[in-house]
Amino acid sequence: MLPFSGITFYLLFLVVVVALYALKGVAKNRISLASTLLGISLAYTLLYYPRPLQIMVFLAYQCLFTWLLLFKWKRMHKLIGSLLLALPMILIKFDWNVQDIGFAGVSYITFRCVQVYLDGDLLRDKFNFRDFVSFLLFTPSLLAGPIDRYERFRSDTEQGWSRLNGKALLAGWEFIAIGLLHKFVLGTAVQRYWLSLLDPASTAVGDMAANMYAYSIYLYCDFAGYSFLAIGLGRMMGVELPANFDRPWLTQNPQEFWRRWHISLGDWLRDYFFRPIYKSLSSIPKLRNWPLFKQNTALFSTFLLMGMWNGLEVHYVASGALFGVYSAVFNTYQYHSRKHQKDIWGRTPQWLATWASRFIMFQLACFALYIFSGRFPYIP
Amino acid sequence: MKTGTTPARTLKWALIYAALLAGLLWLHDPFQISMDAASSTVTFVYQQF
Repeated sequence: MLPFSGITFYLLFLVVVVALYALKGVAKNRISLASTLLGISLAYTLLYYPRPLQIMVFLAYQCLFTWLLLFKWKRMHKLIGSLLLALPMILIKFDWNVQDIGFAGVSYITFRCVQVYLDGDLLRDKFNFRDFVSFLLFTPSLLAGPIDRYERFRSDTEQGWSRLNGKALLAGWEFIAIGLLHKFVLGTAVQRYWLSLLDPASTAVGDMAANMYAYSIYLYCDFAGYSFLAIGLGRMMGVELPANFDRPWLTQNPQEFWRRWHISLGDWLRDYFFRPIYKSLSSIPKLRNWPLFKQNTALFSTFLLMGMWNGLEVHYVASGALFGVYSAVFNTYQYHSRKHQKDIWGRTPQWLATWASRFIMFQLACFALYIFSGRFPYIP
Repeated sequence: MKTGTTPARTLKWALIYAALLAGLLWLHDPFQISMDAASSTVTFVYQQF
């Protein structure tokens, strides 16, 4: 039973949340909230999540290597250490005959492990296995994020049972209502009455445009809805998961888009992929006077990796590359715009420039998501 | 999210709950008590991750 996928999950966690709030008075002097959350996450993973054995083996691997890398192999190159942690995910993703060890959500757990490792210097003193395993297996964000950070997660659970209060319950419920509306009403309606009626093989411009908008809106409703549900359940359990979507259709440029769409992935890629690449390029003496080249190379590589992470199919890679091109072109425009003190919108009224930018970015984003969908007939 | 009650907030949440209730009844069979059709979307979108 995948999280948020059926009525059984909701009933199960209704019982869990009611029990947490009903028993917190009795429990608070006997057991910590962190241990309780670990117990709940472990019980759900072992009893209800598909392929529990694979997750436990994977978890043992991640715990062992994260501990070794943090405390024993401190001098190992960060890239090699990260690849070691990402190795099971890479083997599963690229389908190297290891599907027997795969399970849904492997990428998100891997991202969290790599974050702990790369931020090791800052959080080595705060590391313990109880919080680490609880952080990796926390049920609301187990399958598809949002991608939390260890120190943030730990700061919530450390506050203990006082995190469970009326305000958290109400805020959590509001997120869940919004999530249900997005995912099970808007997303399902778009999918059933629009997207599924379209012919993805058609090359007529009108059909392609309909496919592009229908898929983009469906993906937003479904994924943002899922994220709201995860955040809502997390709040009810005392953990404030980071936001994942913030009105992405109001975006005015490609870089802002990734601060509003799948935010936790955009932030993760920025911190643990873009910045290290840019830093590596900056250490090359020949590139010292090429800041734009370094920025654009790092941007393009980051988005290309994001595309490849979804799978090696042409449409995923092309979609990532296209987002990379968008970002590099915009970055170049910004660089020259600042340098020459000139803006493409000139004397256009501010409100018109804002809405025109939003309109253009909406088309660009929808087109890239259309390619991502695999429904674009010219890119299989 | 703000927790203070204002007429605008009350109206907003009344609309959200009305849309949610109507949408769930319209799109999901209440007697079947299952969201399996929607759960397939989870598989479709997220298993790649």
